[in-house]
Amino acid sequence: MVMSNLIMYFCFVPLFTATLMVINNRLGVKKGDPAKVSPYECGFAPVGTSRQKFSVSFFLVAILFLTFDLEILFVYPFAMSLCHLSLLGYWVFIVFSLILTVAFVYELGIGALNYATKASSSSLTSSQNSPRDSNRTKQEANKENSSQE
Amino acid sequence: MTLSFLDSLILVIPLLGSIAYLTLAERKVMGSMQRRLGPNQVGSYGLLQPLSDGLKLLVKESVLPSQANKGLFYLAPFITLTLSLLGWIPIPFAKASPLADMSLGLLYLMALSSLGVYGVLLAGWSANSKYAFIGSLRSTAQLVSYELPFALLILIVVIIPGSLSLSHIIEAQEPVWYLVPLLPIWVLWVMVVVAETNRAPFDLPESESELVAGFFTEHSALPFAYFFLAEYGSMILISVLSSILFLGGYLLPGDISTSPVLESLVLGVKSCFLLFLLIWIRASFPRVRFDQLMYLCWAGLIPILFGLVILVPSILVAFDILP
Repeated sequence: MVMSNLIMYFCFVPLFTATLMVINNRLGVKKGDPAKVSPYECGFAPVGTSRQKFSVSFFLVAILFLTFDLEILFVYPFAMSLCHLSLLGYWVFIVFSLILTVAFVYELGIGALNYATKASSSSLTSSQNSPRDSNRTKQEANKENSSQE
Repeated sequence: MTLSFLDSLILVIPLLGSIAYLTLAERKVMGSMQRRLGPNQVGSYGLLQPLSDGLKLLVKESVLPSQANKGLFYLAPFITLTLSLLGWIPIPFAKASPLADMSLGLLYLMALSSLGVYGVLLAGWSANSKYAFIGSLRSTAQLVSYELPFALLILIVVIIPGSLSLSHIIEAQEPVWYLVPLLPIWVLWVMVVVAETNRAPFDLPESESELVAGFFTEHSALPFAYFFLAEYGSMILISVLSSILFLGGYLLPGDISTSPVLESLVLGVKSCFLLFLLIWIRASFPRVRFDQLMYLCWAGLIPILFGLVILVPSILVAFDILP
């Protein structure tokens, strides 16, 4: 009974969503013109490619997620069997947590998750905007100088 | 065979209805909090508004951007809504009445919520638009990061009953709801829930003022509606889950004998309170910046939760009150 419910639900839900999507495709009018189907960009014609580089911080977050999520999942069996374990099991868990904490402190210490400073010093933003930025800063500096004078 | 088909139908149809009326409730509540009326034109008090919205989205043209990757473009909303609906299998609405009583129900729910990232990633990538791309990057980083506190919080809760089955967890709360002994964890849980469901103030993926609509900028008509339904569906699911984990699920306080109808009503009332809380939070707080969001997760929530993961079993072992 339970198994047949499961299988039925697992078949029913994807079929249901797919059917609605097909209905929408049939019912909706299809009138595409070049402006409508071009990628949205605030009313402008799209500039450049949308497959852009992104900050390495996002990649770091993904890598750190993998390691830490794995470690958390290691603790789940411990949590389930805590009542069957002796005191030894508890201390093994404490040692495991300590090692985890050391790794976490190291990761925070090297600034792996420091988004704000990463963004300002990353080679991507500085190389793209450097000429304009340096001009702007010069102008601003001049302005400040003149206002001080 | 027919019976299990009806079971699925009985679960899915009211679920979609409640999602539709949750959107109306949100607009009405937000309207009252901002001293305006909210939708009130379609039907009396705007009660037919969700139906007209749904019908409109069903018959609108679904625009496929010229440079989009067609298969993935339509696959992404499909995956998102399907996963959001599949999460309802192990939820017990009353005593012994989930669709399928899983002994590892919580693990199943966590697996589904991790898979949800794929929908976001595919949507942003396949649309081939800058806004969608940046939105999906941010959203992925946010969902992936908040997966850790989410898993840690569930870990802390399940240490006490020593079971991953949702009905066991509810039965273990018969003496006292976990809200009482785990009050600090409940506060953290609400923060993580808001971030996991991409709600304001943590709705960075779809921060309208910066990214138009985030990862589903290019989706229109029903594919757009699927993301919308999935978001509100996961809101309801996670409210039900929090009332199961912390508020005793379908239990009334004290030893009151209940019928299945009353039990499911109790669960519904508790979940509605939590949904109202989510809307209330949205109306009250301004959006945070992205680096603040990530910093809160990695330097705020995760260290304190590591501490609590050690503290809670230590208390249980020290006072010898394991199940």
